[in-house]
Amino acid sequence: MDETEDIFTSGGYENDSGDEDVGDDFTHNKLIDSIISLDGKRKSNRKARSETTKNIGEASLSTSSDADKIRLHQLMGALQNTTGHGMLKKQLMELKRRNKTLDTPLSKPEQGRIERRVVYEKTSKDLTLWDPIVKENRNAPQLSFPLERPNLNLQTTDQVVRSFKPRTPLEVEVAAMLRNNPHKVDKRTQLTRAEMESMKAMSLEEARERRAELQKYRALLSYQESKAKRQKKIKSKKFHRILRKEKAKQLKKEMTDLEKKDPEAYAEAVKLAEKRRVEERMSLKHRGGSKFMKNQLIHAKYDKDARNSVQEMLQHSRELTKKDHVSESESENEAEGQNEAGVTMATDDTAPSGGGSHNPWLAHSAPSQHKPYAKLEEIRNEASSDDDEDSSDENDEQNQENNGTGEDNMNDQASDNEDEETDDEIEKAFDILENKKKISKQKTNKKGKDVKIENSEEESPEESEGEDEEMITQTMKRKRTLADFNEDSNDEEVPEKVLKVRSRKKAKPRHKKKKKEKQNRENQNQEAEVRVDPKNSMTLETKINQSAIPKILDGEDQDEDDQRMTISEAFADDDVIDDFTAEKQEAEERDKPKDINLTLPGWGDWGGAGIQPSKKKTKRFLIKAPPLPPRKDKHLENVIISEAKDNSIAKHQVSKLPFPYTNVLQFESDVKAPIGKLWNPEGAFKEITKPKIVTKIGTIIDPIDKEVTFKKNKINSKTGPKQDNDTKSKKGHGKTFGGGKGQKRGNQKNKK
Amino acid sequence: MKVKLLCRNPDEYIRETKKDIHKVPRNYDPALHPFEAAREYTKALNASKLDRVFAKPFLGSLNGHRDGIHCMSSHPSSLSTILSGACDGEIRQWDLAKRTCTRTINAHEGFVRGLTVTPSAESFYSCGDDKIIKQWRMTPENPSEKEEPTHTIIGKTIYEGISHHWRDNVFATCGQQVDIWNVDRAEPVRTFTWGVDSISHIKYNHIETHLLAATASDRSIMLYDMRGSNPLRKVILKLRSNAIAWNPMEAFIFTVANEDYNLYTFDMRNLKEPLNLHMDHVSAVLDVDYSPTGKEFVSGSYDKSIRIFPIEKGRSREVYHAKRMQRVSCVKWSRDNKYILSGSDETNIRIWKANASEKLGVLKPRERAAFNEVTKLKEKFVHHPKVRRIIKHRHVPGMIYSAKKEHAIIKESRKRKEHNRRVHSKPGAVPFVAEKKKHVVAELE
Repeated sequence: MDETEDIFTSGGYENDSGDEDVGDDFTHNKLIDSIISLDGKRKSNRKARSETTKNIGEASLSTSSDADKIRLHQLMGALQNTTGHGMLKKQLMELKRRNKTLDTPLSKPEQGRIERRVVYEKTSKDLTLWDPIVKENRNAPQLSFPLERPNLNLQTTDQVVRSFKPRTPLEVEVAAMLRNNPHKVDKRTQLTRAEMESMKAMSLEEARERRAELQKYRALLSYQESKAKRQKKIKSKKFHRILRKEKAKQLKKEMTDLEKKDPEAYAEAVKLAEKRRVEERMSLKHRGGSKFMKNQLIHAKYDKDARNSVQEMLQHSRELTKKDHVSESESENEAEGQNEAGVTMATDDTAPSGGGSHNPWLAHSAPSQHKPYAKLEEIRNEASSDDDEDSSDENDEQNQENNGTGEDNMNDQASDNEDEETDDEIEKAFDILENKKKISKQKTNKKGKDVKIENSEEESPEESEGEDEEMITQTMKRKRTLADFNEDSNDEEVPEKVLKVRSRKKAKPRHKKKKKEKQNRENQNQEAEVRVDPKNSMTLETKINQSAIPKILDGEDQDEDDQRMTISEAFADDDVIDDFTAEKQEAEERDKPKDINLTLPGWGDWGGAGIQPSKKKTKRFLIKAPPLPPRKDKHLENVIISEAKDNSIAKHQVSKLPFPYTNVLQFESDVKAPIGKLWNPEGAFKEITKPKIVTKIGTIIDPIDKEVTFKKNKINSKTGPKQDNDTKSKKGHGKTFGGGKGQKRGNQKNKK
Repeated sequence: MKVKLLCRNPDEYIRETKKDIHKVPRNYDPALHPFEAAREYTKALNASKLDRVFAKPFLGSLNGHRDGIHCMSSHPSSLSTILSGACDGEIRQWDLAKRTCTRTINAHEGFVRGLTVTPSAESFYSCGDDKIIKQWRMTPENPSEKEEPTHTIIGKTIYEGISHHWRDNVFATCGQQVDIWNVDRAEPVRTFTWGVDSISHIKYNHIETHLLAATASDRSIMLYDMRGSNPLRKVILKLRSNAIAWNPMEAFIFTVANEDYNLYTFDMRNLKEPLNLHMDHVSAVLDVDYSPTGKEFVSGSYDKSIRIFPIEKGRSREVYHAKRMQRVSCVKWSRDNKYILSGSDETNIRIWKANASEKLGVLKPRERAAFNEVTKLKEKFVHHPKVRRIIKHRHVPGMIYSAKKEHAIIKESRKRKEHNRRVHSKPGAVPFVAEKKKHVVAELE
């Protein structure tokens, strides 16, 4: 009904406002009036307008008055008597019931406001996604920029090849050549083009033959390999020794053959061997210099294997340093059984070669070997014989021998190694020689003078050279290995030896000459002189010391008195105690708060020179200082405790508790905890001092990337199968800006 | 006799190579290293003094422009390239490493109002007072010839600012309205208006790339979403904002440079009050730019100084000024976080170090460790008066010094007045208002 009303009203309105066709309007109005008056109930009160005027009253423009509207029932009234009236009425009722009108649209500004609010809220909500990330970044102990690291993985050759494009003319040329080369290896086919061609070229027979041949060679090779492997696994030492010996024999044979066939090559081989020998002699590789050897030596005491390996090493060294190419007859002539095994003496090394070589020094010295070296010779011979024995592993026997003779103190700690022994013995021999010389010197110069211990005052400066003395005692010990001193070693005690040395040492600087002929006699003399009771010597020394000390030591009481006297004498002029009391008093005075006198002379009184303010006034204007608490050092006579507070540190101290801290203890503990290297281990120091932000020099820092960041998070939380690219990006490296986007898109597609 | 020896493992004291450092065994017994706090305090004090001794932030200037510099733009992939636009319509391209001008373009009549480089770095856009947007190649095709823009858009109104999207080929201009442009079209794709006549500055968000923020002459800051047809929100401050900068690491944080000498950092989800206000300038702040790490920003001011603020601090950590530097109209933080560029009215672009006393160039590991240690020490003892005094002390020009004093007096007197009012009125009649809340006038939906 309303709709129909609207239709009609709008029509009426149009007619009202329309002013071009007045005649029409008029007839129309009349028609409406007649329609309304049909039911006879109401009369139209519409204004009739006959003429258009420019000034139209506002009231006449209004269309909203309900009176103007035509209701549906007004129209229906006219149809009341027609046949379809009931039907029509029903339809209209239905229409009215079903109809729902829209609300009036909101005004534009209001509409905009709502839209903006909705969008803003949506955006704000979306942005909360960033909260955890922002929080994490703000609290991170260290942030390293740029956040996304470039891919630093090394490219594989395949990758390089795939992306390689020839650029320079040379590269282009090479590429062109390679492209057309028949020998180019292709992955798809097993054989190259050239190979295929050659295959085609070969006849079937030939190919078979060739194949058989190749097969044979391959089989042989594999046999050889397996054999070598098997042999290598064999643990038997004997087997290996035999193998080694065989090899050596073979080598020797080859060498002799070579000597005959090709002297030049032989000479070269010899030279090489010589060089190797020299190198071996230079290095300690097989003689305890190497780390392995050192370890083995440590273990040798407990471990048989280690001992054996040491032995082997030494053996090896001996073999290497052996001189093969000097003819045996020569060396035998030189000195019987001369052996170079590990002997370190320079003379010893050069001696054998000296016979055959052109060393003038040795050539000269060989014949003029004089008597004292005879002993050395003997010992050398001994050593060489020992050496020979050693090859048959008879060390123990030898040790027994050594101990049995009881010659050497050093033999107590005798080592298994006979090399050292020989060394020792040679040294000993030298020592003996030296000793003899020294003794002879000493004796000749003394000329029967008694060596008296009472002379120790003169000796003392020399004795002070402690180190020398020790060395000499050692040499003495070694001398004792000679048979001459055999008896002595059993009887005498150590201090005596020391004394002996002292006496000799004292004698040495005085006498430079020696007389050989007297040597033996004097030796005996010395023995006689030296035999002094060590205890006596000790007492003597103390006596001398006592005599040297001044007389203060007479009595303890006297001593104290004397001390007091000297102190009082020394401080005769200073009155320390009085000074101190005065000082203390002064400090007390100074620290006492002063009274404040506010009297003004001449104020309310006569003024002028020489006039004292009246007592009454002084009393009135004097402000007395408040009494202080008792001083801390009041009862301590000998102490001044300053009451003044030291403010010098205050300017360095924090007066207020700084912001993030909530209590003083927290702050103090933070300040106390040191961060320097001096107090913290390197790792902790690095951890403490690591900067909050690290940037890379010359690297652009891009803004944080939404896609990359959230993909990373998603992957971290996600479980299950992942794409290759995704696993890469999980590590936080290996992806570029564009790549990340692409991957993201790919993922989305997959999801769809 | 067995002789026992003290022995050491050579591995512990022998260097592996000649260039290796000597291993020094250390005893960390605290009894052997007494007075740790006192010693570290001294070290921190000395370090802070040395810091001031070595603080030489000014690196050099780029001169060549014939009028005041109005805008700058950095290159997205080359650290040594920047662009600057001057008030006479000239655009120059600079090589920072050589400190030379590599290119000069007479681009516009009147001011060059805005410059922005595309993310691919192939071209850049400029807009000016002549109502024209021009697109230029980054590397000119023919350097000898007079340069012509590759693309020109003639508009109806003056464009006051321009900003390029961080990914796509879309850019936004502002002026009477905010326009979103697509590269391929001559007409804007979208236009936003919200009852203001002049929008002076616009910036795209780095992270949520569809978001835009703009400042307008009606003292408002406006937020837009490029995807929608309506603006998002508007917040009105007491005075006009001159520039805006988004935090490149935190999507919802932006900072505005205001005429009331302050800078305000907002969380765009809560515009009722700023997160933080940063004060120290003594005149209007004209431009602001974030460091690429998002931890600090730099601001240039009408008081002829540049200041660096940490985002969470209310006061600046550093002030840069030069004798002949005039009003600073634009500042840029270099994208490697090392340098700051400032363009000012007296036609010069100045290059500064972001960290005044930092040693430039490659640091040796031990050097770096030492720097890290003293930095940490300074941080630890910063509350101690002597250390703080040295760290905080800056020499400023007389103008700034006296202005600062004056402002302090003004502030003090206002405070006193408020206090007096509070004391002499009914309890609760004069409420305490936090400083942060005083500056936002309204938030409009």
